[in-house]
Amino acid sequence: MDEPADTHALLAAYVLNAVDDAERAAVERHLAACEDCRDDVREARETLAQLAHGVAAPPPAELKEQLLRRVRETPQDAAPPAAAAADQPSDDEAPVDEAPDDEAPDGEVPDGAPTPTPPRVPSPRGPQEARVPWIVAVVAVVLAAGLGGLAWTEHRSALDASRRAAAASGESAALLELQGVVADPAAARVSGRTGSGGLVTAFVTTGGSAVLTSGLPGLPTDRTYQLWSVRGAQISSLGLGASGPTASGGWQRLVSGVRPGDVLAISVEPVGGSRQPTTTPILALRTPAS
Amino acid sequence: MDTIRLSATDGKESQVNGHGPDPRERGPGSTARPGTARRDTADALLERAADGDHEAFASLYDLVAPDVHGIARAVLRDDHHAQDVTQDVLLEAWRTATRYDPERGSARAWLTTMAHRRAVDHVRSLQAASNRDVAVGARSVVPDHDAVIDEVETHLQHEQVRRCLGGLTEIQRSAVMLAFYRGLTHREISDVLAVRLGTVKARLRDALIRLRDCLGAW
Repeated sequence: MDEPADTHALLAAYVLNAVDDAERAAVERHLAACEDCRDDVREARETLAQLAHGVAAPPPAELKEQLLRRVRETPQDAAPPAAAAADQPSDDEAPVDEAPDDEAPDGEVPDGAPTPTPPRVPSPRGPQEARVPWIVAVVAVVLAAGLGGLAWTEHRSALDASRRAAAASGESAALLELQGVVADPAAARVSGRTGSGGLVTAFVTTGGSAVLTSGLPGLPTDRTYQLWSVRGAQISSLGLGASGPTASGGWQRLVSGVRPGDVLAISVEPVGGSRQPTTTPILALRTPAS
Repeated sequence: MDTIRLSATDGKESQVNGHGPDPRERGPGSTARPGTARRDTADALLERAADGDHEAFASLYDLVAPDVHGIARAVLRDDHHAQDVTQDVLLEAWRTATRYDPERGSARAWLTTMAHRRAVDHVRSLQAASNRDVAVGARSVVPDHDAVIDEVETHLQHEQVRRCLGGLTEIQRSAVMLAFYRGLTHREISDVLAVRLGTVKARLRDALIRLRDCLGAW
């Protein structure tokens, strides 16, 4: 056990993230019982914010557009009830990635992006429906340029169906973002066919990636498609695709956590998905390195 | 043992660049903070963003993204990773803005804390992956700490930050810069600077106090 004085001496190192996990936990236990220490931590973080300002460097302009596009599709957490005010990010630990970075093999670069998330749930707000047709037109051009006419026709019918479904349910926002990714001229694109003739196309951008499928086999009602990124020996779930018999109708997903050069794979899994693939992927595509 | 005294550790090392008297009076309860309006702007924008105000969030981005990106880039030394961290942190800020409480710290501190933590975690995971069997002391950055500090100093944009860092003792300055701008742990700093672990902890603490007094509030 740490002696309290020893732990207290670590406060500055803690604020600077210059401690290991065990020390961090010890300091946080100490902080829970020491109000003055919490004040010190807050004050030190203000000082460090000024040190950060000392090395301020504007990110590239395109980052703002990418971010704001993601922001438009990202619902905010509900405000905490007053009683939960202790759950403050500034005293709490800042939200941290939980991806198993330390498992990255062979010097592969682990992903700094958040834990791979399931496909985004369309925002219930969906305020931008009026812009959909314009974006679809852009998508058509990009797809037509990048894929054979036949491939475009296949994806277009699936996209059109998704668009009608989204419009009917007032949930066009996620589809809109997906189409934005597809239309991004900087997107790296890869396309491939499964053994049964299904078509899968992936568009990879730094702000997110889109996966389009059409003609995949329908599945039993208790099975789903699941998307994976493979980087070295690290396999991460990108979320679920369509499930059951209707999966053959073509579907699209917006995913995050794919880097250029990753392999993108699709496998059939029990409904609800698996932590790691339990069947051989029906298709694996290596995305172009940037 | 590394149990150490927390007080009166200033002045053991040679004083480099003695700093002049700080013109600002401040104390824990000081309210006359220079630059308050600037801090309040970011805070107010974040609070408006918590209400779903996209325009406010875009303005907040303009105000804070350079700081978030700057510290991520300093620690990660990789533009691609720094941009990822910047985007992740700001998206997280949007998502969790509803939990932000200005009583508990400025928006800038909240965001740069997040950015620093993420960048440091990322660097350590890279080290864990590539240096699993290599002693920490063998890290390539280690023999080069003077160069590391020089390089950070050349990137310091802000005259006041430069001046206040210059007002620290050499060990204070090296320790705080290696921790904050390079993400080293106190053990690594102890190895790099060849000073006892307890000394590192104390110098980090002294450095933060002196920087606080020199920099003042926003």
